[in-house]
Amino acid sequence: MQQYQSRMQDKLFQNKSQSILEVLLSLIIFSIAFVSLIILVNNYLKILKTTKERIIANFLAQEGLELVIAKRNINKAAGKGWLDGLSGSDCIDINLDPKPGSSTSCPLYLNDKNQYVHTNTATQTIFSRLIKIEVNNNIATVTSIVDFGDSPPIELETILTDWIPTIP
Amino acid sequence: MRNKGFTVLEAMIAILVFIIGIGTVSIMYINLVRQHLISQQLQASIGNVKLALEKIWREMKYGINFATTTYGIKFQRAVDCKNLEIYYDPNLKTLIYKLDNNTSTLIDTNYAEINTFEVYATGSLSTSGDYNKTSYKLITLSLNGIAKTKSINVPINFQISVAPINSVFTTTSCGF
Repeated sequence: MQQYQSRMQDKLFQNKSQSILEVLLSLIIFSIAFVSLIILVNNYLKILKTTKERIIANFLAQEGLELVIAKRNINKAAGKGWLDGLSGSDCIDINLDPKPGSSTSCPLYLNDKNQYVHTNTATQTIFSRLIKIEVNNNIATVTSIVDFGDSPPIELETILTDWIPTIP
Repeated sequence: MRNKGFTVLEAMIAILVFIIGIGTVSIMYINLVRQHLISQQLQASIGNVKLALEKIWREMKYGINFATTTYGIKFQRAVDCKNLEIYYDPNLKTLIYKLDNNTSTLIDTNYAEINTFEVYATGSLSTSGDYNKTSYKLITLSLNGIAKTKSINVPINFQISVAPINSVFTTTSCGF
């Protein structure tokens, strides 16, 4: 018993320094905690930015659908084919002059009136919008896809027909 | 039994390192809480603007007889034929909702300030004839301003477009 106590006291009170492995381990643990905190702070800043961008992207995607509805209504009022001027994969902005496009060729710019348009101006935004239209049995499935930054794109879809109701 | 403790210098260095470590972590934690608060305030501010735009969008979707004005747009609500005007007040830096003669602000200026408000109406085929020929088929509102928090202001640029449902009819329920 005395032998055990003496061994313990030796262990407890010996003044040996830490091994390199112990120092490294503690440094690694400290670094992980430290880096996690930095990442957390940065993520908050990112969330702050993407919240705003996501809302704008949602509005732009919704606008894409409205543009096709407006184009359909103009075509109907003018006595043209209801999807006249739309190719099925288009860049279309508030000027209602659709141009065939692909997922990479429809960037949105801000003009001098702070309007989002496809016309190339000095201020390019991070947003791009493509309108896809698939027609089956005279029913069109319209998809508005807005890409922005590294975030997943916003996709909204609606169904359109060439039916116009009579006077209410 | 060897009973050697730390020297004063060793103890002081250890305490110093500890204080620096705790200090850095505390500052980062305070920053984190601050960012969280800013994020919450910003979400409230942007939410306020979003809510206003969604209200305008809904009113315009079912509106008729649209006409642009110097600072906004006026039209009638198809449901009750009341006159509705939505316009920008440059002094108050907000949007005003005027239903008949009752006005109210759409965006709380504690949350956001509007600097420019642009209305663009298009799709009218002629100046006379049936309503579906003369009506605007697309109305676009573009809004530029700042979303406010206690410590930072974030620039905002929102745009909504509406294709009014009634623009396809030859007449409107409120007379034309």
